[in-house]
Amino acid sequence: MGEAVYCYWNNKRVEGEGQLSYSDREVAAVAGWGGIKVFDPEIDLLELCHEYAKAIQRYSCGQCMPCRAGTSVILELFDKLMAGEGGPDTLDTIKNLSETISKTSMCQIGQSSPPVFIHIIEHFRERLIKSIQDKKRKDNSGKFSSILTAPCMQACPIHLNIPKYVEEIKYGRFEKSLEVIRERLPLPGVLGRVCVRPCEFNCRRGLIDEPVQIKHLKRFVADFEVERGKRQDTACAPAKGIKVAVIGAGPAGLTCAKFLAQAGYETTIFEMLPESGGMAAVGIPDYRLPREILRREVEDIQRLGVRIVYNTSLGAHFTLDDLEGQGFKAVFMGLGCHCHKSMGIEGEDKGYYGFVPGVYFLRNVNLGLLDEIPKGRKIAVVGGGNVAIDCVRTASRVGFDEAHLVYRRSRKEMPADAVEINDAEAEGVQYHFLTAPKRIVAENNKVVGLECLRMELGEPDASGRRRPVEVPGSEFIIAADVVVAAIGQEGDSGCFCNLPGVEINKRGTFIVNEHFMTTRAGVFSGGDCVTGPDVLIRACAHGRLSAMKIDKYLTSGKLESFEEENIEGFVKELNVYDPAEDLQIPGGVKRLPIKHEPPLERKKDFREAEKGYTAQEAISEASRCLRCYRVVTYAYK
Amino acid sequence: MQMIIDGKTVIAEEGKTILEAARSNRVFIPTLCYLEKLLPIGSCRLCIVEIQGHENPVTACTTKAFDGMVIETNTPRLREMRKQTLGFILQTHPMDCKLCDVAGRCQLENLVKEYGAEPPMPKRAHKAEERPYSTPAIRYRPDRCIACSRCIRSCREVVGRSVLDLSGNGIGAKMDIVAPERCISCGECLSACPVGALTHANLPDGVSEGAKKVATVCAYCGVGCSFELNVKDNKAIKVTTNDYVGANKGSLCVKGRFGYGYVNSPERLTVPMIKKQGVLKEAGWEEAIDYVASRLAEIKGKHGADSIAGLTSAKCTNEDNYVFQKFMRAVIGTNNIDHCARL
Repeated sequence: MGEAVYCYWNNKRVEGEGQLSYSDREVAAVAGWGGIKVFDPEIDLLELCHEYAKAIQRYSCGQCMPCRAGTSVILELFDKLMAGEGGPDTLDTIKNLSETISKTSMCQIGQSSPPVFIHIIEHFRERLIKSIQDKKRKDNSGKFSSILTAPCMQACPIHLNIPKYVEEIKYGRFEKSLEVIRERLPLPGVLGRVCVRPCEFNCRRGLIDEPVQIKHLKRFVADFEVERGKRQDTACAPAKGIKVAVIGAGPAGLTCAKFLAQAGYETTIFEMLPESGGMAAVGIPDYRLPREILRREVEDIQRLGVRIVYNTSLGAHFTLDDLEGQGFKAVFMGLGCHCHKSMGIEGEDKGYYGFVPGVYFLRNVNLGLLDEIPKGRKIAVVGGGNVAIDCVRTASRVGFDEAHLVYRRSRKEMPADAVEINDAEAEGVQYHFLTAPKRIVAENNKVVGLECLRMELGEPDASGRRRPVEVPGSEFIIAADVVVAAIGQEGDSGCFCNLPGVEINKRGTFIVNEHFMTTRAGVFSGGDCVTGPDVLIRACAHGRLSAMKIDKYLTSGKLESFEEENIEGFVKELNVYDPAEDLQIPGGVKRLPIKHEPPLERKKDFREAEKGYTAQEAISEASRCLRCYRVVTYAYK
Repeated sequence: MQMIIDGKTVIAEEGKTILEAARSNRVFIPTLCYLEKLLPIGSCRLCIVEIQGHENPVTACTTKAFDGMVIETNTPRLREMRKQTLGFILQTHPMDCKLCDVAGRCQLENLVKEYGAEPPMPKRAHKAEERPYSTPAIRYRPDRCIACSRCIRSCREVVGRSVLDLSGNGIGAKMDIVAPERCISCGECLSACPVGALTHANLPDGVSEGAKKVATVCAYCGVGCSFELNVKDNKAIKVTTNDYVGANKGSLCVKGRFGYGYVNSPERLTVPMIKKQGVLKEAGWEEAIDYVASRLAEIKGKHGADSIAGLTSAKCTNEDNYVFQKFMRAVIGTNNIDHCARL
């Protein structure tokens, strides 16, 4: 650990701060919106400024006058200083220009980047002058790299270039927008409907009124293509003649297969179900994600040459050794977490007719196996996550008249999406908050109700949420013909434990190194079977990175971190999104609301509950984006 | 909705931008990239205004006005910022106004004069540049382009062709012709250009100076687009448009915008002519009308009224056309009447 030589970040001047590092690379210097951090006395401050000025010009889109021309003037001034022309008074010109540009530019590139020069000139003027006067200059420019980030991009697990694709929508170039999304994500229509949208929670627009509807804009461009019956062609690298197997056609597997195929690998997906999509197909009901949307995006992946073999599961039909024997040089396992956690209450393991875990309930409905789900009039679902909401909303669509949701904490603590909670309520779902299940009540081996206990909130627990405490003697019974447990999922331990050479951890998920490789060489894994139940977009992110790792592994035999991974750590530490920021501009333009099918109509069938934007609406919503791009220049030691 | 602009209490319609609210109250805020018919993007940064309670200026064209807003449009700070922004444009834009066709009507030139703007650094020697454009009717000089994107947006939003786009980055960003095959030579881009980057290809520099604008209606088809014929030395030298006049709101097709050459054509008929012994000879109006009347009566007598048909022109006025069909029906006695405006 080295000592920070000097540092000015977010109005704080620090000398002697700890080292910024990630992977095995030590950062020597960073320049970005908050200021600079220099950890290496060898860094030439003038050169850092010069490189930063070059980066601003490179990333400036050229639309607004101050950023386009103003920052090029700054660059020219730094060019001169580097060439030994001009003295300290040039610094005052630069500072003055920076002030104007940062106040008058259109987006955050012009607004947040020039202040770096102001900070340096104000706080490290002497150092900079010394650097200017030191005429013996070595050319270190190869040492510096620059990237563009944004609060939303940083929050997105797959780092989609959100400001870019939103801007393309603003300018009516919907196909281009979709291209930008597809550079990293092959499932825009799926994620445009069901993503938990971490981006929107980091949207700076939210600091002045409401976040941009990023998810719905993504859905809009995906739907726009479907409406026009068009498909985009993705260029693939020449076929390498190397076979790679992907196990599981879920979000992780599909994404991995897409990028493998694009890199020229002969890719085969083995899927245990008769349908692709994994949890996106059998975990998410059709009223949230219509099957044809998913199928179309799977077809797009197949069009790249990916082969999908259905009804074939690892363990039952083939083994990892079989794959090796068939000439597959690498394997990616995206097996997901399709097994349920037990509630640990009385009656759960008695095999009563009418008790069913949420994942099986949803899977059977989603596969059209309605005979497999227990029949009845009233249903009680236990849990507070999105799966519980999916079960309880699905119930009315398959014929239940009364749907109850039992959750042991209060509405505020529910992990489910607030939008979903409200939508379910509009459809007549009855919530029982601060209620814990105690016993499944059955008569003649058939469920007749769920005995529950009232709870009250006590002290906060490890998760920061207040721990629910039982109220003694508060037992009561909710009459129900069917009880669904939806309190969480886990991996299929029967399968996971029996893979020779592949080790699992205490939580029952695969152990992988930082390159997504399991303990068995050549076998990679990502998604829920590595992280435990997690969000769809993270699985896609794992799939994409794994494909790149597999490519690297098969072409060079080595595994190493990519630059985008190296920077991940320190960029995160720089906190691109500051929830306390005061933007000093007026807001007042709220997000364009989403239209819904009427609740009492839509709950009769599986039609899509939310409606998409029209082109006009999408353009107007996209215009709310503040384009919070940030330029970061850095150098390693 | 009530707000205070530059100390004056004004009323504006709900949902308007600050720029619209200001303009409807006769408060002038300078703009370069703004065109009423296009979606505002706020890229020229000249319409910045200050809003009480917020430190950072915002662009009036993209910011919604709200009831009770207190807005300043012309403080010394804003003027200084605008002056610097104009200076940035001048760093690359040549002030070769003497050579430029739009001199005197150039929005940039006028603002530069008003604000006394100067480039922040000594300028490099300027090299005039011309690049082939998507239509031969327009001359494109990239060195004069200020990348306001009005042409790009007009082509996309008004005409729906998307021929143009901004390419490059930083100071190298320039309007580029990305899909020339989609161009229909309508000249919407030309009329959107606030400077002299896009000009009429057939006009030598400086020719339009002193031209008189005559408001008229396009003679080509039945739409009846309004435009201004620029007349100099009794000759039509070009067509310009006014976004606030007529049903076309400043838009034209290739014929309307560039097909005005016929006005001064020496081949135009200016006197009636009658073919005598196979040769067309000039005749007086009396003689011509008598001749037509007698021939029509003769043909009608011999072959019946339906052997005659009338074809009129969209270049005629509505009244002329009405009278003509009345003549065909009531005088000749046939329904054989049509017009040429089937473009």
